[in-house]
Amino acid sequence: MKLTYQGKETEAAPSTVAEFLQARGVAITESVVELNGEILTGDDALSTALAENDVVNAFHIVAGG
Amino acid sequence: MPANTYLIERERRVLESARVGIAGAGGLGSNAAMLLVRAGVKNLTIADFDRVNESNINRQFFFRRQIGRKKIDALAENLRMIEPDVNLEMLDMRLTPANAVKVFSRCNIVIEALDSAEAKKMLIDALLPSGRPLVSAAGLAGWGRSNDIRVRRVGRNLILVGDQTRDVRGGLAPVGVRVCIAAAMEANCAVSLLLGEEL
Repeated sequence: MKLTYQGKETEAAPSTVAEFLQARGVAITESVVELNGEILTGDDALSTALAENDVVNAFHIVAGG
Repeated sequence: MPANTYLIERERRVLESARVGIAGAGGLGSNAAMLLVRAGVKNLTIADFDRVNESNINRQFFFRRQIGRKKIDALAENLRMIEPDVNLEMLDMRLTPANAVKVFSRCNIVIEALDSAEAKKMLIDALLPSGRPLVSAAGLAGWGRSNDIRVRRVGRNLILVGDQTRDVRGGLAPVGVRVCIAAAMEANCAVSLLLGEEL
C-alpha cells in the first residue's frame, strides 16, 4: 500500500505503525511518532494498523541539554 | 519599567500575565529562562534537582562562584539581577510521569529542557495529553551546523527544536554556542505562542 513517510511517498506491506518503523531502523521508544497529524502516545497506539494513504513521521529524541 | 522596554501595551500585558514552565535548569533551561525574563515574561515555574558543576560553566547561565549551589537557587538569583520583580516558583525536584502534570498545571506553555533522551521522552508523553503547548529540544550537541537546528510543529501541541541527530551520547560535547541556539529558539517559540505570532 502507498504511504507518506518522512515527507516521501513510499510502498509498504500491511503492518502496524511499530512494525513499519522498526523495519526502517527507527528506535520507537526514543521517538515521537506522528500518524496523520496526531502524535501516538503509549505503546498501544503504536500497534495501530497502517491504512492506505496514511502519513507517518518519526522524530528522534536525542540527549543533550 | 518592564525588562523589555520595546513591548507595546498588549504585548506587555500578555507576557506579564502568562506563566511559562521550564523542566530543567541546565544548558537549555537556564538560558531559556534568562531570555524569557529579558523578553518580559514575569511568571516562571522551574523544576530541577541538580547543583551547579564546573562542567556547566561552558553553556549554562551560572557563574564560577555559584559552583556547588542548587541550580534553582543560583538561577533565581541571576534572574532577579535582570528583573527584581520576576515571580519565580523554583522547585527542587526530579520530574516523573506521576508529578509532571501537577507541577506545570498553572503554566500556559511548558519548555522541556532536560538532559537525557529518556527524560525528554517521559516529559513529552506525560504532558502532551494535557493539550497545553510543549516546546521540546533534541539534537544540539557539538559545534557548527547552525542551520540544521530548526523548529518543527508535531501533532497539535508539540513544537520540536533541534536537529534530531547531534547527540551528546555520540561523543559530542554540549557546547554553549550550539546549546544556546536551541535554548533561544525554545524561548522564541514560547514568546511567539503567547503573543499569537508565527513560530
